[in-house]
Amino acid sequence: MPVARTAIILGSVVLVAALAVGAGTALGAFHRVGPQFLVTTDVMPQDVRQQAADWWWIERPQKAKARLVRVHGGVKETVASADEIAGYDLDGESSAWTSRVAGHWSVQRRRGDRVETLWSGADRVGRPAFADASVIWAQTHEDSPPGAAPLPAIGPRTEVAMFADGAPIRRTGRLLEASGDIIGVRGGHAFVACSRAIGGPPSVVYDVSPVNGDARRLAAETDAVDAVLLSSGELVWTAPSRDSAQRGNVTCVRSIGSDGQVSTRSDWLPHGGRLNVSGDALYYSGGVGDGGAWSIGRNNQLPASIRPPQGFVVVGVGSKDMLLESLASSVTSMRLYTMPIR
Amino acid sequence: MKSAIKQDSVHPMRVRKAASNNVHPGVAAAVIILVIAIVQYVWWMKLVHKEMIRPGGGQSGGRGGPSTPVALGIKSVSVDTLAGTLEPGDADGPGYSARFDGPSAVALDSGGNVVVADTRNHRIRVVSPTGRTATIAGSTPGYRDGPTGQALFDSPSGVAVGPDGTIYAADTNNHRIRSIRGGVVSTIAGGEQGFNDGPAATARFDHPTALSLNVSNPRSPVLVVADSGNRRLRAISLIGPNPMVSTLYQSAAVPTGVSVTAGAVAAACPGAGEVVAGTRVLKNLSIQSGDGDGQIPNGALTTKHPDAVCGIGQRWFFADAGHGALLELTKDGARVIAGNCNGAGPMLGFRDGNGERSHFGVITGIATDGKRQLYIADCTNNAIRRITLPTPGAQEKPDPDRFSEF
Repeated sequence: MPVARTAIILGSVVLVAALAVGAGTALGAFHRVGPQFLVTTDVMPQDVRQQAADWWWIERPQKAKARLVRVHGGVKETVASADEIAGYDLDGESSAWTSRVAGHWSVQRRRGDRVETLWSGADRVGRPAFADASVIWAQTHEDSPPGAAPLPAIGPRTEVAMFADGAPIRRTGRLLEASGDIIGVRGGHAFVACSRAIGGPPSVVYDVSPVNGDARRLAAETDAVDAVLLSSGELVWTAPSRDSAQRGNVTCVRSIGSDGQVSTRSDWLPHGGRLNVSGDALYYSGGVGDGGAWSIGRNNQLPASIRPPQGFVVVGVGSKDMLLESLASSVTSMRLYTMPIR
Repeated sequence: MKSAIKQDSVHPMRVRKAASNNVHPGVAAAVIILVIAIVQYVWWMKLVHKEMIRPGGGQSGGRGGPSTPVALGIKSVSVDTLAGTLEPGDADGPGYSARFDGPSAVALDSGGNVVVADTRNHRIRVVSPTGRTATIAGSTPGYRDGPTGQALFDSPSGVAVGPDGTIYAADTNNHRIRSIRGGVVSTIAGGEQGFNDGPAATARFDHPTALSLNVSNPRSPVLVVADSGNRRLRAISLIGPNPMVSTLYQSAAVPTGVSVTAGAVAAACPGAGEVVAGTRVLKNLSIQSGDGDGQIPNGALTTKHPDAVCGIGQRWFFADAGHGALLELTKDGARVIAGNCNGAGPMLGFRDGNGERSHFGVITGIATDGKRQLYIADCTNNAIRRITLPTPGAQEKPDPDRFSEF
């Protein structure tokens, strides 16, 4: 009897423990698929990216300096602060960004805790990109004030600059454009998105060889574009809709293949959003009046809607998770959450 | 009232109360409404005044109220698009299917074809009178003389056509003046960036932009060059096998447009806001409505960045990059021929129609058939536009202040 009693007691303990573990696992799983609080911020994050366990974005408050922000473990760190931060790129433990302080532009890189200025001067610089051990950016020189030199040949000129440790900065390419953002670098080609300041936003995407400066126009759009380079090497960008009669209010996603042919990947997206990359998957978020995200297929398929939980809107899509804003937030104190992409 | 007067000497406070008790409620309401109306009228007048006169002399008022743009072009002028569309590209073909990228200048040949300096495409193109676009020469940026299929240009920004069909091009970023004759591209003047007058082979230019050919004396044609980097108008005498280059005019500002008509020369300097016509330097010209219906107070709206000029007989037309409009020089200033222009800022757009309803981007080149048609290099719209002027009327009398000839 004492042995049987002991066995019953032990069995009960094991059963209760197993039930507790199971319940805990189920509860944990439930919590992981729901929004997890990340951090509070006072301004809407822009150019959101997720790298490993970190979130990065740019904050551009109206009456304060712009900030490049990194969030790690729920702690927000201001990596850089300037009058303007044009863009940034990440590569493992390194980050690089371009910024303007008191009319002076600079390109900076952080490795570990060490921040170094790679270049500074009066020329405007756009979004940079890492390319192996180099940092590449587009640099725009303007001799004349706006309107004074309306001819493209004597107007602003944009060059591609490349920094590599231990070597002088190398400048190649000469685009007759008023600004340039490096979309990415692949196979010795730098892809540059340019917009034209005077006369509206026609945007042109170039393929520039940082080696010899040869430039080739890949695509042109009548609106501002957001472009990304996928790990497959495919260049993708947003453009006014090809299907809708209201081209200005509806966005499509176009791409250029290795054969140089431009095609429409998807259409009928709300205007004003950004492309996000997760592995080889492509998402679109932040469209005007739209609180969701969209999965972008191929071959002119309709986009698939990804709706956030009730009470949340999608701020951006990272490599694994979505960044959400709670609608219960106030304008000056936005509560940001993350949840896995479904 | 009687009782109130009686009480006046006894107790003033009671008098006031009694008096107010005697005011008819309707009268009080009318007085209140009147006061509110007066306050509102004064406030409204101040608001209108503040909106009408903007800093810098601009004006936004007009027939439709303070926020309604004023249409200043001429209704009887028509504007259409001959070739190209907003989207930049480099395709040949008919009408809207053709693509340009930053067309900076146009010139007309004797057959009515429009020759185009397609700057960002580094090509010289031609648009037929029916609107079909073809490439004459150029491909990737570079410098190479030879057959048109192999020749290279770097950002050509000016073109002119001689009576014999020779095309002249200002090859801006090669700092050279090129010619295209009989399917062959040649360099007629220039070399490395710099300044030098003299024989064409040793002459130097710095970012030459616009060209205009003076054939008023057919035996001694002169090619006039807006040499923007040297801030000069240069003249290339095309007599004989060895052209000579000389300086025609030195400016404090950068010239980007030049035109010669019947021996008179005009230039546009957008950075300084100047139109140079002969010996006259015209700046901050007062802009008036093209139809002359007096919508703008004199001097309230002025030219900003004139950047291209063209003459027809006694008339000078110019484009203003600051307004996105085509204007005509008048004795007292300038009047809007086509394009919308309200002074609140450039009203850049892309719309055909009449002169009042049409919109342009930044116009950088103008050419004419010498009669009623003007051809426009609409640079930011990547299109070649055509403006048809109304049949000449009584107002087009010779100007006694005709600009001096050279």
